[in-house]
Amino acid sequence: MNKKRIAVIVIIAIVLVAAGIYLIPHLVYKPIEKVTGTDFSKVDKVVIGAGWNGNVCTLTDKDEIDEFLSLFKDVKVRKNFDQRSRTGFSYSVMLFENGKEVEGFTVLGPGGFYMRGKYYSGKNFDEDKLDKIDTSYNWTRED
Amino acid sequence: MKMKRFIHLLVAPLLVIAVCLSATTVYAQETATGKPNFDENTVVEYSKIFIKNMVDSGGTTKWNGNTKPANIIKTYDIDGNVNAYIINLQTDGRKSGYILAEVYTEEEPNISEFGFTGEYIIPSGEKASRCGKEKLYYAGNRCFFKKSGNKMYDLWEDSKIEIDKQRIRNYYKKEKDIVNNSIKSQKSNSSKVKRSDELQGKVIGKPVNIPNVKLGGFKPYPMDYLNKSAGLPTNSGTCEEACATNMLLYWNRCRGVHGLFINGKAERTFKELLSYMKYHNGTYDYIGYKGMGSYIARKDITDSKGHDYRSRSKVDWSFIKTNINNNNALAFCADCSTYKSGNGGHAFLAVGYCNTTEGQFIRVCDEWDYSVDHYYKYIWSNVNEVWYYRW
Repeated sequence: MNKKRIAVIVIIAIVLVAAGIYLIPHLVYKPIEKVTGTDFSKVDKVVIGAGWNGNVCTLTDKDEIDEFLSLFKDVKVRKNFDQRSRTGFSYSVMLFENGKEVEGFTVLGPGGFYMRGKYYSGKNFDEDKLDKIDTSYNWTRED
Repeated sequence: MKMKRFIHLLVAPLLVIAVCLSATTVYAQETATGKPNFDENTVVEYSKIFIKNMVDSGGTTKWNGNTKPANIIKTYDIDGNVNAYIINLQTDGRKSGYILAEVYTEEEPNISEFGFTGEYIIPSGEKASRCGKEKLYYAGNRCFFKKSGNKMYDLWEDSKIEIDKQRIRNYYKKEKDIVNNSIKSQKSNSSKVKRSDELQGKVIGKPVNIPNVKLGGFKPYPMDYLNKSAGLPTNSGTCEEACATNMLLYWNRCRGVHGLFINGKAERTFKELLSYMKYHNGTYDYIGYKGMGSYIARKDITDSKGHDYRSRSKVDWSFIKTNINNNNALAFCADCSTYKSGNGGHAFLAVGYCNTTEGQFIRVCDEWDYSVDHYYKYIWSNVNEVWYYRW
């Protein structure tokens, strides 16, 4: 009898832990920097691609990079329950360290992100920040 | 005395030069404001070349070597300058369609509309040839007006709506910019070499394109323009809705299918498609395709004759090839990392394909400019979904 009880408790505990492991990323907001796993302070090149007009902007100046990434410093994201594939994005952000591409992210729109093959919803990222990306940098057609 | 004569000799030719220069300036100003950039004869010749190209390319069976202008109607901008010619055609004595050639353009006349049957009908339902007694005013993109007294009336669905002249001017200016930018963009794209979105390698076999893409007035709308017209932030990722709008535009402009846009307006249709296709920070696979179906099911929209959808696992090269061979424009949703710098799903309108020594390429409109001359290198694993509706 005791053994059965223990078995049931263990099973419930396992289910709860598994559910917790699955649910926590969906419920708890984390800084975007942590989710990408990329240390923003080490980034030495950023390539931004605009999904709405095809223009591209490359940042190599450290001050410019820091200013750009500061837009995302306080952005926190959590995984969406709905992971269906979708088409369309505002900006794709590719990050580089010592000439090698590291994990970046894609801005789908205000509060929508895609990184590491998953969709996320975020806070502290609104249309003003999107507009700032558009107006603050030197965009070119990629020829 | 000698000095005075010397001064006269010097001043006289200068005066003559000054008079000549000022006359030239006045003439140039008159030309710029009073006359169209292309006269009727030029436009007729241009239309004949267009008809010949269309016949030679197999774009129609309704026109042939006997197709010629039956009557020509001039349209005017609000200041009274000729800005387009509507050329109704006949073939062997039968009415056989029309060509609308805009002449406010800078580099060449722009054939913005054509049809293979009947004659040109303005959006209010009236035949353009019957508007002959009054001046027909035109502001681009199927917007016609008539004047009564000092007031302008819209010839859209009826002729009772008075339109502010400044509004017409603003609209016309915007349309002129779009058309001129489009012509420049297509010209500059065709002269550039080796872009990431251009065809690479040596072409093997014959490239295949759906009919009439290069001919006539097919200018896909770019996303930023459509976003702005719908009141969205310009940087919204609405590519699938823009692609759907351009698919309708293709069938309308290049295949002569009418009744595809709400009130005939692509911009208004795009705005509606945002909700039909449930746009929210992108568009879900399949939901976009289903939304387009719901839009087409509207009573005021011409029903499609067929449609199909393939998700990533079911798309292959033969599906794309077969449908382009069957003259269907495809919504081709794929990762754009191999096309431009950027990781993200993007919707292209596929209008052709070809094989080269570098691989298989799909000719696409990318919804980022007015061009139909971009190429996407086909990589199966990059494709998310492909769908189409046909009429």
